[in-house]
Amino acid sequence: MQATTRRRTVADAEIPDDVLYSEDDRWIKIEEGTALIGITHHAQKELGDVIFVELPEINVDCDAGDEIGTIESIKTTTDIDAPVSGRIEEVNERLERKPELLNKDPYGLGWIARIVIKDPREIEDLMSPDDYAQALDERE
Amino acid sequence: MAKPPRADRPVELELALDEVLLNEAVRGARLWTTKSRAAVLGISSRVAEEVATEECRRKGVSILRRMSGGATVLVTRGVVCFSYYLPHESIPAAKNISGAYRYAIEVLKAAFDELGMFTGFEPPCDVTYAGRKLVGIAQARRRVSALVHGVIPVDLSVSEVTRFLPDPPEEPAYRNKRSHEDFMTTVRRERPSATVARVAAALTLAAEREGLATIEPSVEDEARAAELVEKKYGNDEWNLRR
Repeated sequence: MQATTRRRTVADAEIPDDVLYSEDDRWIKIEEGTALIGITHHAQKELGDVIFVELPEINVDCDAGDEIGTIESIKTTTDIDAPVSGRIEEVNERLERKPELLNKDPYGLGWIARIVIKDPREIEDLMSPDDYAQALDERE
Repeated sequence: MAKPPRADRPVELELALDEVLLNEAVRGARLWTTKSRAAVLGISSRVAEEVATEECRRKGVSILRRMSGGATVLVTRGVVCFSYYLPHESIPAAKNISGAYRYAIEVLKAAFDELGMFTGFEPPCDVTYAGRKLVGIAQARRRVSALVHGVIPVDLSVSEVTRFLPDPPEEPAYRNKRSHEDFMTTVRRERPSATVARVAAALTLAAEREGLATIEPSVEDEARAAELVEKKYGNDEWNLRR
């Protein structure tokens, strides 16, 4: 799952153009009715070395905003919130053995889960790369 | 005369209250201390690596786990535990992990300034005094709010820490292989006239200046926290999970 797209850098963080974003620094790639999700480059930089990932449960329904997992780093713990409602179809089990993939390749090998989207209208609530770049810029 | 923070709740209930108040996304600060003793692990810490379990059991020191990361701390008489609840909406700096830490460190720095102690900072999140670690802080985050909390050793024997907590497996670079004794300091060691009550008063004043009013949990908060103690913080499945 290797991203080969155009990406820009804002506040030292890479922002690929082929995904959407949430305000809490998650990326969402829409693919055939599913949302592949992960944390952004900015989020992994902020977290520091990730040491443990509690993955979502497969085949569980979630609403947008539900806590579906946890990421633990040397600096903090943070929830993985579902950016859209739906059913969790797949999780990246490699993260259980190699949580550092979230730091090394957040948009590729460090993907977290795939959700079958229940309500496509929720996608409109996500941020475009331009909007996310602006939000990051304003935060710095 | 400054009043010491309350010390009558069990430590596991205090840890649960932190989670309850973070979930409520309230804005404010809370201080507490204890009359008992507990080794409080970070969420990912390993008991076998960071706690002298036999010694803790022999001396009745509880082994508990908090919701944030970081190394194990000893919570006992003579420390002040602080929690800052930082909702992103009213404190935009808290939208970022580093911003939330910076905010909390500024509040702590102002409190120590009041005590005549001009503190420094060592990454990832230690407040230092004269090259020694004074306070380690940790953070837990929800989508709309952050909790930054820590333990201030006011009048604490560092040898007591050494007795219950072996040197941690991961050390910040500035520790430079120093033992607990050589690496840590306490407020009392640097300011012999300091008391828990005086430190608490300085912390309260500094927090209030930043708009972090003192939070007194409601009856409902306490009830939610008691449920969490039942399910999580008072439970070996959580406390000894790693």
